Amino acid sequence: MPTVLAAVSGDARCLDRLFRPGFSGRVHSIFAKVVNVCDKDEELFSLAAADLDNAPHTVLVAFPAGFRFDAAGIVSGDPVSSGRGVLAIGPSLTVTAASAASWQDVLPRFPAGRGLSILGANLAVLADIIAATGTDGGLKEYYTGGGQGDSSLFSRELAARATGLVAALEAADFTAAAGCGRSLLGLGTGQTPSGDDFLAGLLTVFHLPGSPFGEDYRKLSQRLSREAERLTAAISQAMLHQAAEGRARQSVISLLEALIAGEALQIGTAAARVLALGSSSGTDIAVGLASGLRHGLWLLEKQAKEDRHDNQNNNPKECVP
Amino acid sequence: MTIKIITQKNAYHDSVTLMAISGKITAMTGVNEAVVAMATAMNKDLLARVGMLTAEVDQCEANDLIIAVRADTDEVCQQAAAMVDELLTKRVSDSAGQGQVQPATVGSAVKMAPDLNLAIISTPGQYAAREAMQALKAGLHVMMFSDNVTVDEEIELKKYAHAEGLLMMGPDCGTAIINNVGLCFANAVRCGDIGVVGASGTGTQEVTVLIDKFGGGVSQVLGTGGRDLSEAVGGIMMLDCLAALSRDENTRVIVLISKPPAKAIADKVLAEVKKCLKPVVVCFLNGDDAQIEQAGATFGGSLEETARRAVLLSRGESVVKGADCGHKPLLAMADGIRAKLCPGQKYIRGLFCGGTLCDEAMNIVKNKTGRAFSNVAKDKAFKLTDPHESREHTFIDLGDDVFTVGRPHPMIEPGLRLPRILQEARDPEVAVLLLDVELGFGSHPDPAGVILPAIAEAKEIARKQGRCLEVIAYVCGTAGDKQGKAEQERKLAEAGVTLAKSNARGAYLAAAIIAGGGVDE
Repeated sequence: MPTVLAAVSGDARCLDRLFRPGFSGRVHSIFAKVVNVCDKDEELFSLAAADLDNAPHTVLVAFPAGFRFDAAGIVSGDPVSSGRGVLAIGPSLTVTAASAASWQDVLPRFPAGRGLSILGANLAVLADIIAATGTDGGLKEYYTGGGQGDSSLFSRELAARATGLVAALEAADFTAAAGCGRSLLGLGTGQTPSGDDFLAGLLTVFHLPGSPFGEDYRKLSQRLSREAERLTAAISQAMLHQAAEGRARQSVISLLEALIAGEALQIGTAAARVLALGSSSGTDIAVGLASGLRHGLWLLEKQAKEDRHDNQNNNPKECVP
Repeated sequence: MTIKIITQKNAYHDSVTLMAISGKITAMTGVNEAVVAMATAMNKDLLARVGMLTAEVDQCEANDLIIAVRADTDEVCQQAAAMVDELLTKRVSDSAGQGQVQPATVGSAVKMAPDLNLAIISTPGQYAAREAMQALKAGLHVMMFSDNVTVDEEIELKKYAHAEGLLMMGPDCGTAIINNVGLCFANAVRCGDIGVVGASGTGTQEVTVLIDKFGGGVSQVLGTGGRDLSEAVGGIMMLDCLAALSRDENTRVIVLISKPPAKAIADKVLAEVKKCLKPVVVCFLNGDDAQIEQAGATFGGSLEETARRAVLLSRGESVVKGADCGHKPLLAMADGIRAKLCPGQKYIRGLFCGGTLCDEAMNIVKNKTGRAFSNVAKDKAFKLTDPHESREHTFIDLGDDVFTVGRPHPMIEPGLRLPRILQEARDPEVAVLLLDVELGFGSHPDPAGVILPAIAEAKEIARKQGRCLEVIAYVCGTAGDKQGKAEQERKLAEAGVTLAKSNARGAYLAAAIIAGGGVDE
């Protein structure tokens, strides 16, 4: 008898795709709490334990006592198919979606007016949290300005390339930015390299509604997402595709909401959930988010200065005859 | 220099597994570089730049996992490869064996075993309060090992527990012995009539271990969590535990242990102590002895003194101030060690796995020398701005979040301390390394064995520079602990480590080496 798991919630589009009759694919990769399946076009979908957070292309399922995917008798390559509202995964696992709640990711608006100073202050809080509790080995040192003197091989490279990317963005040189972004793809330790995690955070911020990021930024996102297909691993590719579409997991959205309009306690709680993702992934994603938000503030400040300058030049009282 | 590459085609492992592999290889003596990464173009490019790109790696694709190790010898590389193989295989076999039924919630656990009366909560902090409340509502006492729980949540839980007559031990409670069953980091100590309430984990371990050593035994050992005696929490659980031990007919003497509490809360606790009909020994580290004695309690100036006095009281003997803690033999030993030091060697570096032991040692050295820095110092003037860099006399609590996020606590994985031991050894101004080694149910199976190679290397670094590095260690444990105290001490002694009989004595010795005679007792 196969084990029957009940989906409790899921990305609305993902629920529709996976449980619509006729879905056909295979098991891609298996972890304790997550199994990834892909369709015939190699598009990835995740089934994850309900104690993780909702995310794009993900369905959360309730685990019976002691259950874990990597002990459920499924292996990579097992067939996956849907029919009659259930998803059959290999010979031993079936997932039902009859009572699954539908989830949609909605990014918060980039702040304006007084909200900008709140965001600035909250980013300082996040920097302290990352410095104190973030994981070393990835982008942490780049962001916190810390460094233990003997930072890892990857940390040094990641920091140099991230610095180059932000400098290129500040110079509005999107060709150089694409080059720097490309150099981060696939760079770093772990299952999802740190450079990919950082970019995922950064690209997500470029899609916040009401943000100062224009079309060039979204084009850059698309370009890096395409480059990811040849420069990094499949799970990272999926993450970057979603980020380039402005899609994010719930813990990331909650952290963005906390940074934009929350207080220290809310930031601490939300940051803890993001920092807990993977080993160093959460820290690198958080650094990407914070770097994007900082850059947004920088753009607005620059714009305000230019506006003031223009106004001064147009002020009739100060015109020199 | 040898390079060993392990590759796995289309391999996917949990991040925690990969992190554990990376940590264990890096900690191996003789390993210079270890990389656990996907075989992406950028990673291969970087490996090529540091001379670790082999033809095998070059052929890998982005979805392949590579584990690259560069070590001094081929033998070390082979050992690292065997370890990787074992760790990856172990994960698979661990996953395969699923015979035992594991309840997924507190509710289902209570349904499966209605006789349960205590829950240990060890989830990430953000979920811990919810689970603890469910346990309390199911009528269970709670021991909460988790930290990162908010003060508001702690207050809510403790108020609820108080109203229901339940114990809410924690958050961040690591040590308890209930009805002779040791929980989490407790040690195998003798049964007896001394009841202990501790707001500090390793402080409680040290006192109970020394009670055992001095011939006494414990009735119950209860933890409150480190914040219980703060102004906000108000000592709710310390007061409840004191009341419970006052009523417990198997408890003859009560011991209270905490870092210095908030003044108002200390007054509140001592007012209850005054009403208690049983002898009470109070150890508020670096606390005010007069205030405690005014409450009719016996003052414990150090964790050792606390244990010693509790045992005397449990035997019905009286405590004579100043007569029970002689450190004179330490002074002679210190003179001998000091004679071997170079003129520029003047600082102590304490690298601790136990937070309260770190605190106690820091206070002892600071009281003697006037200055001691730490990552956990409450006095901002002595708090390290960068916990990774020592300054003058420095005492590091390696269990602090800054060192442990994403990693096990150093009492479980003492390897966290190894690079820092070498870092301190390279500093020509360092005279003494002070270390603690905790034994007990939850601790590493061979904590002394883990640090031995680093100690040997540290001494060698100093020797090559014409210095003598003194390493003092204290093994906090009993003969009954699974690690075996005698065996742990033997290993350290054979590596040239000076063994202290208590944490306080280790610190007194270190201070005496640096500051000369006249160590305060």
